[in-house]
Amino acid sequence: MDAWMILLPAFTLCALMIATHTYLGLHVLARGIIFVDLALAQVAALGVSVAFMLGWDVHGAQAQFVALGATLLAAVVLAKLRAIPDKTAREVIIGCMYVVATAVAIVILSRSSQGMEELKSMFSGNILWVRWEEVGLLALVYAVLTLLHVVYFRRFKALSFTEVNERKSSFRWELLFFVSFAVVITLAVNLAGVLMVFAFLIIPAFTASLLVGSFGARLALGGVLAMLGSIAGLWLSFSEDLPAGPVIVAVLGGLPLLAGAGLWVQRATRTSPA
Amino acid sequence: MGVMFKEGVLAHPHPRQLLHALLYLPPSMAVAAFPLVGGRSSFTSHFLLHRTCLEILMKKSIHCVIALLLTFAPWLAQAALNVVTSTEDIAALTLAIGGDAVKVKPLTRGTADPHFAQAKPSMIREVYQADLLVVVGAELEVGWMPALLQSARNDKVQPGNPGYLDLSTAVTLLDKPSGPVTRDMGDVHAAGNPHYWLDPNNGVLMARAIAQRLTQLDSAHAKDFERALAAFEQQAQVKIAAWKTALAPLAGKAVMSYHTSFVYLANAFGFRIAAQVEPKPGISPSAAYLTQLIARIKEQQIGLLIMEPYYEQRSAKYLSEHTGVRIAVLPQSVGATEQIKTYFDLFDAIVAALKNAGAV
Repeated sequence: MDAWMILLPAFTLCALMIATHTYLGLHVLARGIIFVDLALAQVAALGVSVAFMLGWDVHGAQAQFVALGATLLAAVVLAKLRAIPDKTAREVIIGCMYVVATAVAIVILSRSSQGMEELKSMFSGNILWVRWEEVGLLALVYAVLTLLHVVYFRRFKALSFTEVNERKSSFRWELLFFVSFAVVITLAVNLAGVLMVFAFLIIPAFTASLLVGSFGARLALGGVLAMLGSIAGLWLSFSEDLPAGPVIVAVLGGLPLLAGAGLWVQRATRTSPA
Repeated sequence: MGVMFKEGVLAHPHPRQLLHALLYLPPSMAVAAFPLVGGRSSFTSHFLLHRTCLEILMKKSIHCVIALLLTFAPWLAQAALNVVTSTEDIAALTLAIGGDAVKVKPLTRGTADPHFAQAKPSMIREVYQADLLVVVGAELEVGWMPALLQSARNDKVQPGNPGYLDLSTAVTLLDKPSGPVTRDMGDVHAAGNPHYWLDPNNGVLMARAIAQRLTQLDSAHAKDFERALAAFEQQAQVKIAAWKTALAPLAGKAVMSYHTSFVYLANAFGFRIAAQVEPKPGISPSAAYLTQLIARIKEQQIGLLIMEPYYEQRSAKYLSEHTGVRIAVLPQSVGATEQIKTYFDLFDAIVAALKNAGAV
């Protein structure tokens, strides 16, 4: 089987994730609540653990609904979070959500055989074995959410990119934002694992933010960088025969380093007398 | 074709290059090319050019035949069956029976727990290219094989087709649960305990099933497979007798194991697995359970704890410190250590490990 045949489902999954995650990542960065995605991803994993304990298939529909339910609940809490003016307090709540969700998942799974392995696979993912049906379902849901965010682009943008006190309170829109966020993350964690979901959300958006200014430019550059990183990661995974997900995350980790080095060189050449 | 005439390329021509050069060139060019290909001196090339046309054509056709043979020889060798196995144990058995007629690739290493496997690109490629996929079955690979089979999209090796061989159907499984299996029971397999390769008598049954399937897929080598199987069975008979003698002191003894992996070994060599470190298969023991185990070890006078290398050893050491039970870390698969290359090596190593632990 050709390399591209093996890697095509995984690559398609990456492309779908890049299309949605870079956009959401920019929102998260603007809000300054970086670990919200890690927390939500872990809550999704916790939901799957509960489903696993109840004897349901980890990747089945029931498990996904439990995970979605748990994540939506967390999303409501996170939507309320905006009301807290203290940024540190918000980060504390998000951090606690992550740690507690992870701990509870470990406690639940410690009683089951293979539970720890499931936890590990929810963490690092097995994107090489993803099925086309799963990718198709993901594409469908992502398309609906993308449409929602394209239509109400300004409204969502205003929500994230204005200061709390300037903003007219609209809990409904805030909730809608976190609900779409929760859906995107639940589905992605199921297929790609917590590590990849967090990496795709934050790393490309952050790297692009270092280099360019406008929202559109960051979105485009972030998408391109993530795509290049995914291709390089998948290629490396294939040529060196390594698990794909963690390799992609490691490669993406190089992006902000490269951008930082680029900025440093640029600054050094600008300050030095020509 | 241009590249064929460069110096250096032709100094050590590959048989295929020879074939292409001689088959596809017009005769006159072949004449010119031939001395180059052969690396002859200018004198012989001069001489060759002055031969008659008939001689040249004869010469060319002889070389064509030789080149053809040379070209197809590697192709014939590649006609070996591509066999992919889930574990190294099955790979070793398949190699013992198939010999040169098969190319065997195991999907997991003998150093790792075969219940789990991390997806790697090579696994998909190997299953895709496989003519035969041999698995332990009995749900041992249930956590990863279905997903892999789906990704590899190779109809030949899908369950139910001749290219799929589930060896658990060739042996009698122990520990078959009587009632319905639930998550509550831990890592219990509905079909029975899947660690059956640890009984050397089952190894013979597995080898037979492999030989039968190889014969079905490659009847041209039927005689070879039959011969290899006979040799394997004969050697197994001698070896099993020797292992039984070596492990005779264990017969009838109560032994504890970490996981449920060693029931077949116990069955084969006449000792009894009286307790397991895991409260339920696949679940690590809690502190309270370890305390219970200490009482049980003393009560039943269990003197030996056997376990696989890939489980945590702290629980076992804790038990050993409190009861004096001896710990023997036994290789559970071919490839568990570098020295274990064949199925017979595995039991030699198990016997050696038990001797080292002072168990026999």
